[in-house]
Amino acid sequence: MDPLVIDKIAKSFATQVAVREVSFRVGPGEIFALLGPNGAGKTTTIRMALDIFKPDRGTIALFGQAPGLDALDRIGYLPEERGLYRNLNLLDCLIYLAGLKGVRTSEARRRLTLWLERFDLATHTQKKINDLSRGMQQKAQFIAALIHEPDLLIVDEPFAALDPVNTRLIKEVLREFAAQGRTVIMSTHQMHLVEELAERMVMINRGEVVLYGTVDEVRRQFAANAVLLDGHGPLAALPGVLSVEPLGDTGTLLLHLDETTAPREIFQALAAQPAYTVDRFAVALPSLDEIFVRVVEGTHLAEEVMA
Amino acid sequence: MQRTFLVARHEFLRHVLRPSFLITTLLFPLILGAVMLFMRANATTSPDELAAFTGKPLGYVDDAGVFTLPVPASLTAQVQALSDVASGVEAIQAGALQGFYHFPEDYLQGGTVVWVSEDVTGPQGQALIATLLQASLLADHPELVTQLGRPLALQLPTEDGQAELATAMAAERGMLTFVLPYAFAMVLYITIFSAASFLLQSVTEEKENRTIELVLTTIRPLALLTGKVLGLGLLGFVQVSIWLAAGMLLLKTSTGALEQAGLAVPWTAVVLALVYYLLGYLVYGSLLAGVGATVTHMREGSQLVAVLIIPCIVPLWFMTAIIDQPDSLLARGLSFFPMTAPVTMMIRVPLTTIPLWEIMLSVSVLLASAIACLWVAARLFRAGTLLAGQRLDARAIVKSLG
Repeated sequence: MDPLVIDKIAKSFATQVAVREVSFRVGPGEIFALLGPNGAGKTTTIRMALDIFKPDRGTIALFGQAPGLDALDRIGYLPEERGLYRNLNLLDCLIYLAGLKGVRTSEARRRLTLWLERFDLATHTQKKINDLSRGMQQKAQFIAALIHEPDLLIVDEPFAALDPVNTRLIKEVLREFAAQGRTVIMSTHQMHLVEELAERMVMINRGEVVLYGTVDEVRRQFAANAVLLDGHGPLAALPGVLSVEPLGDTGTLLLHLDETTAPREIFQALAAQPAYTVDRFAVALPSLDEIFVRVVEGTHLAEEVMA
Repeated sequence: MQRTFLVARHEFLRHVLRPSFLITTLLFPLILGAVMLFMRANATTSPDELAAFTGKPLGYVDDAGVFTLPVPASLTAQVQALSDVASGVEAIQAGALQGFYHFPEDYLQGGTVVWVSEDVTGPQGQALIATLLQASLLADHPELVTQLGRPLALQLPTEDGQAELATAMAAERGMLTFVLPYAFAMVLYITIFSAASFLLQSVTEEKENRTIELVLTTIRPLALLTGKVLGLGLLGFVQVSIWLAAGMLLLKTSTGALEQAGLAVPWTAVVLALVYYLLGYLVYGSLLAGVGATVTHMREGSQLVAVLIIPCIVPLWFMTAIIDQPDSLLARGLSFFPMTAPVTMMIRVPLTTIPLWEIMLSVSVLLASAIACLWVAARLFRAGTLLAGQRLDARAIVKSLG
């Protein structure tokens, strides 16, 4: 049963269309990335999936059923707009939030002992939320999102405000989570983390899906016909190569190929050059970062042309 | 349902442990008690009580020759005629006199009287002196003197004077008819609004600190709101109970003669006060929660709250009229309008026997409006909750109710 299936949903607010038409599916046990520029409609989409808003059109299925409290109890949520009860102490606040998710106080205490220890918050349990640093508050909220051991974890910008140590910690937990067969939906602007963690992704821009598929597919889809080459020795001319561009001072070369030449043919041609030793040969895939910028700017460009 | 109670418990405990709540709840009766004690100590209207309080008589020096009649024998313990100012001062210094009034020679022309005393509390026993003076000035009209003297004579404490005592009680009952409704109305007014504004605060707080988004994935808006209403209602209930209990205790100790005179502490009024507190709180609490749902920040909310308070104040405006005629059309009308009913009823209850049907009707109206308000508040809550940053305009509100 897929944890989340979104089918052609749309949502408008008084003055603006937040989501025009969005469909995607998130399978069990995967880490799924929800990407898009600010104001693209990601948060609205998440809120509809969580039954906080009703979509104007389209359907949403959580674990095969219409969104409701039963399904929501199987979901953990880290909202983008962080918030905890500022005047409560850390432990009471987390116990209350766990209680709202149906975890009994004694059980919540037991689980919290482990999580707070792991997140290096064990010494701060009696401190007021207000007195915790932003990073600590974020970790606390992360704990609140998974204390009831949900089957689906939806995290909006989970790495914001975290230092590298804590970022690594969260990554670890997310991976563990997926390894247990649970599902993670992650919305973030940190593309390198998406490349690192996510298997599949959807990108939304202006309320519509612009990219959808596995991260690899998407990157290949955007690959220019080019290869990256590291090596030493004299490099003779290669058939089908339009130009050779050194990438900075790294010694890496970017080879632009003509349309009829496949990277494999270049590799074979290189093998036939005994004077040149290949250290690294790779198809030049664009980073998600580049793709992101290209897609978003491309949309702007298209609109300007239309106008 | 279980989560509704969890919310209720959470809200109750969170607020009941706040120092500000504890201080308000406990300090209010203390201040009230202190005020009552102070008022009693400074009461100048009943001279007998005063003389009993200080134990020293008053005097007067009559240089104007207006006191043609001697001080009645029954009052000599409290008022003494003095021959001149010097002897009065001497008596004060000797501690035999509390103070004296000096009527100068030109008193009848100028009307000025001088109070001489070492005390700082100001002129004492004015009513007593004024009555004596009136009696003297009206010496030619004895029937008028009797008339003027009567209330004074009736308030005298005598060894065996049951009749006088009863009349004195009637006078005190007169004071109570004002104090009791006023006290009930104020207690109700304050608790309803303190609990209701806690509710407003709690609703806006979750919006301001963004917890609401998380909370709404765990519980339905109506259930959440119901939990808050229950928890904070209980909070106000504790407060109103403490205040009423303290008030009753104060009333009992300060006017010990009350029960002797057959004026029982109005327990029905206390019960009704609790009932009307709950209903009034529900109506206003849900209204304020609705306000909380539509605004982004507490600041905005406070302005709307000011508007909502007005109907609650209306009965206080008409207080004198209601006290004068607790069964008038005005009083009854206000008892059936949900926003004015609680306070109006509390003014009326100690004064008159309200027919059962009136109470039933007003309770039903309140109950129905409370439920309606709560429902509307929950709908607004849903629509308003996450539009933080985006104002909820009239159209969106109407749409969300549809």
